[in-house]
Amino acid sequence: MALLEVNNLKTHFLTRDGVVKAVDGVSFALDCGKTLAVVGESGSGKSVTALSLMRLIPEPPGKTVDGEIIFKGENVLDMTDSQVRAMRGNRVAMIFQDPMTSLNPVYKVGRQIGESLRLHKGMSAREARVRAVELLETVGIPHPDNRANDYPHQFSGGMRQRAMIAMALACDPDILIADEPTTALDVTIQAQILELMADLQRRTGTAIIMITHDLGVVADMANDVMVMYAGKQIEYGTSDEVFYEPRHPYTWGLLDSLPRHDIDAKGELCPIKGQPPSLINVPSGCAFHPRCPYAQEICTVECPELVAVDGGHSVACHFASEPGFRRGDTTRAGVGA
Amino acid sequence: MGELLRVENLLKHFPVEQGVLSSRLSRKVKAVDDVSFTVEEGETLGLVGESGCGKSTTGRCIMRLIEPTAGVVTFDGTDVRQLRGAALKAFRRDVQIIFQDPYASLNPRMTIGEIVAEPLAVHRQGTPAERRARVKELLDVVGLNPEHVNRYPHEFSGGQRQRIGIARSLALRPRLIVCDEPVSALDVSIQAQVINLLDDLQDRFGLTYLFIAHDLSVVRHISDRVAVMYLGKIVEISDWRDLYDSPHHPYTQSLLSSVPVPDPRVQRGRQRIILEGDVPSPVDPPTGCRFHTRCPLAQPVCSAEEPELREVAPGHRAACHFAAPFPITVGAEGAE
Amino acid sequence: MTRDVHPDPDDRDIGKPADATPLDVGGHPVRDQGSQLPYPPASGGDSLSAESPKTRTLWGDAWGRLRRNKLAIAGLIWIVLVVSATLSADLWVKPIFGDPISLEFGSLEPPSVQHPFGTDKLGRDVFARVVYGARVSLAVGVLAVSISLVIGLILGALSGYYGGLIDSFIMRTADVFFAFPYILFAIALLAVLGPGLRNVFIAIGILGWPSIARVFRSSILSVKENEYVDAARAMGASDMRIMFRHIMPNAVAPIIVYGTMSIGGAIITEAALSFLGMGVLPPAPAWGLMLSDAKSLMFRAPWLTIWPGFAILTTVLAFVLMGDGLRDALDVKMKD
Repeated sequence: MALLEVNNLKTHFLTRDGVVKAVDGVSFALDCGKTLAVVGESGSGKSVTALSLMRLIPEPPGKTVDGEIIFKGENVLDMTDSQVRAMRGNRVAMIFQDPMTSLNPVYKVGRQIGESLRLHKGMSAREARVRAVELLETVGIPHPDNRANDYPHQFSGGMRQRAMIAMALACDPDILIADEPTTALDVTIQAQILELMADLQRRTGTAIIMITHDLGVVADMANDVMVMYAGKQIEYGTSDEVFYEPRHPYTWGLLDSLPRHDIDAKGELCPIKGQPPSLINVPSGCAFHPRCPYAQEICTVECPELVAVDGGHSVACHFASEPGFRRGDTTRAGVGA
Repeated sequence: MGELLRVENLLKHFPVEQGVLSSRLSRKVKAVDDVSFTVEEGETLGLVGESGCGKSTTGRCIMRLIEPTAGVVTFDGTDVRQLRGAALKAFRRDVQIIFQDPYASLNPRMTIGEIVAEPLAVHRQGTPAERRARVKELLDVVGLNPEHVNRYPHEFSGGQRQRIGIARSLALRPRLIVCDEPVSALDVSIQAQVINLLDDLQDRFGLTYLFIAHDLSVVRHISDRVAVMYLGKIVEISDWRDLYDSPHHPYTQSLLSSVPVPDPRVQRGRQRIILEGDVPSPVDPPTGCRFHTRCPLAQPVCSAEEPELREVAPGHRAACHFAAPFPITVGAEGAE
Repeated sequence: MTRDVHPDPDDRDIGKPADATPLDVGGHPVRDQGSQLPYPPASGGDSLSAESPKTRTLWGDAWGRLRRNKLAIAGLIWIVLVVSATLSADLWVKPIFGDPISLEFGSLEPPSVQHPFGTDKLGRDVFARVVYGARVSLAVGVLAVSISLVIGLILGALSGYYGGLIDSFIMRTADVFFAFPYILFAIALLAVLGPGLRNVFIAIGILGWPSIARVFRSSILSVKENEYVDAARAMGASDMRIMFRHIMPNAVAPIIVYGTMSIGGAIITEAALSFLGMGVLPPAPAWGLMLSDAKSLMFRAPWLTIWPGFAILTTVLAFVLMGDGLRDALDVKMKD
């Protein structure tokens, strides 16, 4: 049985302008010690997915309207409030994107790390502090004993992110959800943090859900990859499958539009035409059709289901199962191209 | 084609306020500390580095959006720092800038037509009718619908706003454009559109770019030559191919190895240099070579003596006592 | 695939999807859009297509939001009611309820059909006096705040834009004003100027400028940080142009809020000054003066206290609610 199994998760927001289907039917499974990357651009719904897992969606205006989140056999959506609170920070922990604002500026770092220990493990203040210092050392902060007495503003961005990781791992969670943890960091610091996360995962066996828009980070960390577009899951498979045998035109577009610094020749960039859609006025049928070079009539009418094309590799495209429909296909053209 | 821009020993120090009583020991943020390079007409020089390295400040000093503390900036043979009044205004026609933030770089209370026409209005070029025509032409050139001239910026997406900013910068037919992280805030699929646009505009109008960015892949794609900055200094500068194929400075090497490649097999197989610690503060930069505190190769000479930016291969300069192609080893031979 | 520089015409539609992200202080993209909702805000021109004729300005958006705020609209309606009632008072109050300063009616008559608010000690109709009294209050409110605005905007603008010594000088002067207890300062001013309506609003106006200057200055400081100001400098715009075209229009929103609420404050101050006998002189009808006269008769003839007090309360409340509504309406727009 998988550690976490999500089936057909749907989270909608009721706004003045209409219903925003931020997450519209997402399913995946996560095993111990593995990393799932959720990839998408702004507005794809990846952050909302993560927040839904922890039931952190603000109830008005948002609501998880459908689906199941089975964590170790229990459906998170059916849990009572106190059960959910017992789960958060304890068995499922989250680290956020912006290291500037995710730590409380008026409390010492050591105390913030110890907070979940005192809350969930019933430790005393002294015990929690000792453990907090240990954790700071684990995440590679020098002089942890002194540093635990510092305030967040005395930490650099990279160190704050490490402190956040320490805080998240304090109670040995089964799952760590990382929402764009390195986007706001410099690239050399990003490398440190990713290395740290991989190392911690090896040692503790924590499963990681990594939310990111950076395919480089995905290639570095992920075992499985889920690509999202306009709230829908459009491709899901192992990292190798998604990078080397992608089957959705959006994934092809993403891979084609990336400049690379390691390939010898300077190829031309092939951007995806158009812009990501507004979640209020999602295009009819397949949300990607206005931008898809292979769009046909059916794509404007019917939203494609997620179908398995190869073992665990599934794709939401009407032509996914057609033989020969692969990246770089020049044999067919869309009706609107 | 010749040399269009020459920067010599550019310095920008920002005073750090210490309070009324300790003004004698006032500290300075040495944002740009003795930077020199040239840019040929028609080429793109990429200026790359992490936050705090001084690349944006360099760009703005060249345009005198920020006044340099010291140094010589020569644009097409003229000393830029000596310009005043009408001559300075004329200079502004030739050198323009594209900003990073598509939200903050357009005045929300002006229509995009007014925004793009403003440079023409400031320099009193053309009659109102001529300006209108030019605005429509510019919008078309950057891939926007000229019919939308009376819309406001908030009605456009980020990528479209960046295009508006580009159209504005082209209005006066500049020769040099300082691109200050123009695609950093855009989604990946839109970045490629804007990069292609900039490339195309360069070919069409014979523009010269100073392309400032922190994304190495983007810089590599668009640049002819690349300069890497660290804590206010240029640590390596060369042709794009040489820099990425054969970086000679340990910082460049670790920077390149830190950027993850979107290819799992390649990424897993890479030999990576992970730097220790954080970037030091530009207020108290390390002595000698500024990189020595984080450098995996640091030797005693590195903290004592600042290395010069010297030629390590034809057209390729690096500032390191032990500059060598990756992987650098420091053996008994010591400095090259 | 062919190179896509000019996206095809489909792309020229306006929509405002999220394809870019705001930036934080370090220039790194903050990809969570900065709003309270975890998805990109669907504001602006989402429903606009290329054919839609109506353009939505930021002011238009703000007005829409204001219209939806019931309390603010209630305040606005009340103010309109009071203003029209008092301006037209000659037409309908005098003939029915008599002249506010004539002494023709019986003294201290309780409220009745002919005198809905009763009469005062000197036999004047209280209702008529309340309605006419609004003229004084509104005149003082608007005129005093206007004086504060003129002085405050100019000094605040100089302070915010130029900074340095000018800023220090102006702000320290403002601090001196702040150091004095407000009412005492007003009384002192009036003691020098002498009582009377005109002097009242001069005094209140003079006392009000420091707050306005401070608010405007801080608004300017934050607007100045936007890159569109840099863009204007980069194209050679003069300081005047930058100030009036770029900074002022964007910095003025908090002033609108503050100004509206200040009117309420000015009305209260006038009432207080009249109450103390420093303001409008008898027999002119003024709410504060009416309260003063009613002091000793508070229990014998409560209608003399209740109605003027009620008038002050509701009018000031109306301005405050409108100000609050304006702040909410304008603030969201500023976040775009």
